[in-house]
Amino acid sequence: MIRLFPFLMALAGLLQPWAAMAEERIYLQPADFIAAAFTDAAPQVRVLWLTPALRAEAEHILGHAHGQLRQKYWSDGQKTAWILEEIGKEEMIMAGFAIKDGRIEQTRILIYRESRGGEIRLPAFLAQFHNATLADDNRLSRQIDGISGATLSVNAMVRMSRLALYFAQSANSK
Amino acid sequence: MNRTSLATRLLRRWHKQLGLLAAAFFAYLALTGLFLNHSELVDPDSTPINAPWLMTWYGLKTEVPANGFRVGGLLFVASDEVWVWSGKALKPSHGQALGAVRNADQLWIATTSELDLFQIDGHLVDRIERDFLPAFPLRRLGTLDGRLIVETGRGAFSTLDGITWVPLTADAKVSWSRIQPLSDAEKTSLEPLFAPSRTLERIIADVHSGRIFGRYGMLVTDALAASLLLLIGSGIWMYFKSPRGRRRQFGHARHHDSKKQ
Repeated sequence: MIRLFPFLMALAGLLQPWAAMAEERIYLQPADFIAAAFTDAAPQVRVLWLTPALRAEAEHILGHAHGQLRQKYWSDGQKTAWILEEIGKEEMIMAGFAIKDGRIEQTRILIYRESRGGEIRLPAFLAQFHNATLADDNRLSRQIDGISGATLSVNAMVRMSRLALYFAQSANSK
Repeated sequence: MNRTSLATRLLRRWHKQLGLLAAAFFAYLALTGLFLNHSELVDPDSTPINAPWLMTWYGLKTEVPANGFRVGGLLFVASDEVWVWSGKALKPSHGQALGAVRNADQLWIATTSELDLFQIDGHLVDRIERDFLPAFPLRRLGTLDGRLIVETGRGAFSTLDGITWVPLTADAKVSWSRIQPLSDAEKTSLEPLFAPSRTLERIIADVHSGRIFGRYGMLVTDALAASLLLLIGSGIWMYFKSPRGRRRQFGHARHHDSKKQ
């Protein structure tokens, strides 16, 4: 019977109903993330125009073209906050990043639209991004442990964090 | 020949025949299942498929909206899933499009919950989500003296860049964007852009579950799945009834007995 177990498991996998319906789950309103990221002083809204060089690097980080020609961000002069969207498998995931001195100070999943993989919103997963910086080739300075069944969402989150750090670095060097 | 051995012989024959039939089904489930597990490798861009015969099979028809927005001599037409500007598909935003205006070399499109800024050639510049609008929901979109105007439940506001907003005085003469009926010729020219489509992944998922063949397809899939379970049951039964299976069973029993002693 034990020998038949893998076969039974494979069969159960093949017969399982596929693709739960995706729905939009709002975990935190974007404005609330910005308010939480700047507790000391109200930030100013600024715009980073994506020059061809910035767009090329954004495409390198994301693996596809960044959809927009300008990127809004918020700044109090020391810290910047970024709200980015990236596709997980089929739908957009929106995340917020607060960055200070080239390090991720805070990150949250704001809106999640995929049918599975929502575990990336959990604090234990997001804590891995705390204090992460950009390393060579605009990669993250640390390895992010994945979550089984949420690989594509985890990858999307890693790409967004790299892009937020890169944008913050570009905005600071303006 | 006793009754048990006759039943075993019949079951073995039945098991072989049903097994042959189920093998094809199992292969079909395995192949479609493999694709679903790794669809991002096979179809990374989720390319939509809109073959007319397939869409007809799904029962989907081309539906061109009856109305659109005329913006500086060009046409913006939107359905829930498709936005078309000057004959080119744009990435749609969330919510129902309620206005489109051109301001110099910018195209602004408003939904009830977002304001989107495009270049005239259709490149997206920025999406301004509802949290960063002066008020929500939006009701109308217009222009006044080179400034963009949005009307909301808390009054009208003007902006140049979609970032900084200023309340508008009540008596300002705003040129509001208005939805207008499309001519038959315009609708015909838009038909290819509003043709229904499905992603390859969705189609394979429907093949996998049998849904692509409608309600009866699902029932046939269920019946085949049940036959697989029967095959598993009969296979296990025959295994333990076979001389090899019995040897193993008794061998284990003897082994346990000798340990007890």
